[in-house]
Amino acid sequence: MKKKQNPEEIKEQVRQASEFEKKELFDPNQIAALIDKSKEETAQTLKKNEKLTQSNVKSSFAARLTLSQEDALKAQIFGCWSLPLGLPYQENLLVRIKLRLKPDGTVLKSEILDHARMNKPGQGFYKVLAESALRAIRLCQPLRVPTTGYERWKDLQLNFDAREMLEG
Amino acid sequence: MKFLKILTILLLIQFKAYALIEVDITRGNLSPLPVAVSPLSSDKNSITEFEKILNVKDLGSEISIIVENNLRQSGLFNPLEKDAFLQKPDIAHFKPRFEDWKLIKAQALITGKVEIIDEKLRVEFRLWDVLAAKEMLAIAFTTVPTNWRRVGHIITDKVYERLTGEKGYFDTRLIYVAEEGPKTKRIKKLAIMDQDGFNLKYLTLGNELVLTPRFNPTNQMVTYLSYFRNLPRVYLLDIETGMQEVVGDFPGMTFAPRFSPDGKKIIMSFATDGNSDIYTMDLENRVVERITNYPSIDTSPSYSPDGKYICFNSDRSGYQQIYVMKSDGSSVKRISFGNGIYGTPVWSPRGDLIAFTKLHKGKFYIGVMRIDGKGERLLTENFYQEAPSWSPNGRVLVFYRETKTDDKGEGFSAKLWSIDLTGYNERQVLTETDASDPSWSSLLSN
Repeated sequence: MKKKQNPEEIKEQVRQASEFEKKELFDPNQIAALIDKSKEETAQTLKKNEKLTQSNVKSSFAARLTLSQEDALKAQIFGCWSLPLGLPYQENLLVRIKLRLKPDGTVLKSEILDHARMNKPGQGFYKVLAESALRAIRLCQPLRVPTTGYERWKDLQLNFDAREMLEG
Repeated sequence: MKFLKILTILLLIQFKAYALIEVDITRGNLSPLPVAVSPLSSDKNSITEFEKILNVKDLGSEISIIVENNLRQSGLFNPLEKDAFLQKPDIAHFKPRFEDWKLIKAQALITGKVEIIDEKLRVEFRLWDVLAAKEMLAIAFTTVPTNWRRVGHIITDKVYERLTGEKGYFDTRLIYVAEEGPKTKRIKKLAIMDQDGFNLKYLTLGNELVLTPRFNPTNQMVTYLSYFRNLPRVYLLDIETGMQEVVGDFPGMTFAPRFSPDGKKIIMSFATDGNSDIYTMDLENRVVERITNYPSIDTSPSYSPDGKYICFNSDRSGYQQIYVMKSDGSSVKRISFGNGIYGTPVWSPRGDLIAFTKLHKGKFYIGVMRIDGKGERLLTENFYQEAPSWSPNGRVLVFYRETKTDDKGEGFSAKLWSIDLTGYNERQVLTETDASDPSWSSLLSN
């Protein structure tokens, strides 16, 4: 018999790799630069001044969080997302939600990007999935967001993809 | 000119704005969804009436317990302890204090009201999304008071459908063969009960051996085998009226009768001279049609839900394997190729899977495979188990399991079990006696 997955366990493992858990011990700016070479673009946004100016825009249009930042956020949401396990597996189990966040990670606004599908006949599964994703966001907030670079991540898109989990 | 400069600067800012950060969430929590089922509230007059008519003291609580048990049994929900509830049922039903429900970690809340109006039971219930602080579902209906257990099942079906996106399976019944007595001298009777084990009724007296009862997917008719002068005959039984008839006297042995999805035909196998083939009988004109004609044992036929295909098992390759053919018997294709022997294939009402029993190295497995034979998954393993039957939504299988007889010839038992498609949620279905050969009805409220 297969062993049941334990999201809490996963969460802890991911947490260990998360910079958010180490910020008391280390300077997150330094760590981010060391462990994630691809995040050089964050140098400007990590400045204390978070006001969007032309100079910092020029050098920092990253469409990603650092890996550790992303891991921390994912780990948090994994624990909050109660997947509707009754859904039959199909290719189209992806819900995209755009968020506007406050600097502390609280959700100001959430928008389901394919909202038209919510009430389409035969798409009942999509509505169920979208609602479960919204519940996860509400349950998790304030989201575990970086302490700096607000302008970069204040708009965030979460893609809830249930295919892997429901494939069986 | 000045305008152009400003426009250029604005465009530059526009193009150099931050691209939207995307994060893929590909894993979630497999724990059952925490749900609070508040007792249904009732007025004083109704409470008195419930006690008088039904001999039930607190009907609202009893109904909520049925809902709770159903949700828990599904494995998808975790009903929270009522002791922790902070709000009274009648107030919660009209205006839940979501903060209170959030505090006890409920993500969904079910509230309701049940009363007697003109000798009828009037029920209304609501499903609330606690985190979004909004109503998800509100339904009211009336029924006769004696249907009160069904009220709990109907509420569960609606809640289940709203929260999972697929139809429920709670307002349903199981028919099975109730067994009593020593293994060598079993008394077998047809029995029927609600899927949660309540409202048990015996449909036959136990004078004749009965086998393989199967529900008509469109109504409350049942077909089954019963022995008459040492030969099995196919019977039809109307559960509502108790009327029973022999479908026909066929030459040789008859096995495994099952209805077509439209309920208008019975498909079964006849055995003569060591050969067994699949036949159908039109229930209206009683015309029998031969579907397979092969010098092998072809048996256990089951239609696809659209009626276009039939799966069955056959030993034509030397070992018993699962085959699929068109409903006219053409285009026969073997679909099982794993190690072991396969039997009792049953097509899922959803149409996507075929459930089966597999025997390999002395162990029996209940499993599922896709209709092309790919993606075989063994859900449960045991000493002896067989005869899976699907819940009407194609998510749960009920089957029976026997235990070994010890050296003294004792310890034998046969019990019903259920397992869902995840393979994690395995539960015994409690029955008054030993039980075998279960069949799951369609939804009664359809």
